[in-house]
Amino acid sequence: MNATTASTLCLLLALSAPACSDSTTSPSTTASTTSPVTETFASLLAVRGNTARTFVVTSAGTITVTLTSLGSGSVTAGLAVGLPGTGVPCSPSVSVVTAAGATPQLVTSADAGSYCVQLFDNGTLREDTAFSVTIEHP
Amino acid sequence: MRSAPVSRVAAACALAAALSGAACGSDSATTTSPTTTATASTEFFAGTLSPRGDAFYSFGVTSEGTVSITLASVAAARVGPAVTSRLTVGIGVPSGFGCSTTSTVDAAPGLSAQMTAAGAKDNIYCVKVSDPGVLSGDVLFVIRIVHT
Repeated sequence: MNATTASTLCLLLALSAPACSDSTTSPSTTASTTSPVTETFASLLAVRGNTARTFVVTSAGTITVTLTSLGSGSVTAGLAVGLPGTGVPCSPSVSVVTAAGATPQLVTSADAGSYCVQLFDNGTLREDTAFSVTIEHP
Repeated sequence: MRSAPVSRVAAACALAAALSGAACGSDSATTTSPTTTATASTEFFAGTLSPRGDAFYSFGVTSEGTVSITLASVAAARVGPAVTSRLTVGIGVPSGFGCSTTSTVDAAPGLSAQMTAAGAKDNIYCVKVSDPGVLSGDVLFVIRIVHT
């Protein structure tokens, strides 16, 4: 490499150096629409049984629970929202006995924390029954 | 024009780069003070409440802050529907073998705090739950306590 080439490389290096500035450029982040969160809880509900799903609410807001399907649609079950991990599968705060439908059966406000949705046989099931519950929360 | 030797060009380039780098930055040293944020703790008070009965639970607050109390669940059985009865929930300080409440509220179970006590300081506090006369049988209850 001769001196002329070296001088050219030096000039290019100087031009490519970042300028001094008080401003800082933060790494760009893509805003993600994470709230509300929608979760689906689908399984089998046993005769005289119960089943629960835990979820986390990251900020205060509204929890909406919809039993969207339950067997053939002609049966009912108990649906509850409450607190998990206190010695029982799900300690209920609010509950309802309901058939499946498109309209939310439970809507309740909640602070940030861990919660659970529970589905239980209220004594009307004749066989293990498939269900699907949609949970929407902050 | 006669070219300069490569070594002299390289040295000049390195010096220029060093000087340009040294020009960046603030003239004064910046010190960052550590910040302390009190961490909230969550405790659960679960038990059985009999008609006309009461129960209490003591907890320690380690730094000044807010205590939030949520009567989160009342139920007649381990699995089954929620009981919507309004129970009396209070906060206070332990006194003898009991809890001397300074603030109470009648609340139905919910998942948002029914009672918030600001200005709690480094001390021992207690939460008390009692039946104001609405229960006809024993119930299981869960109270969530969030404090600093």
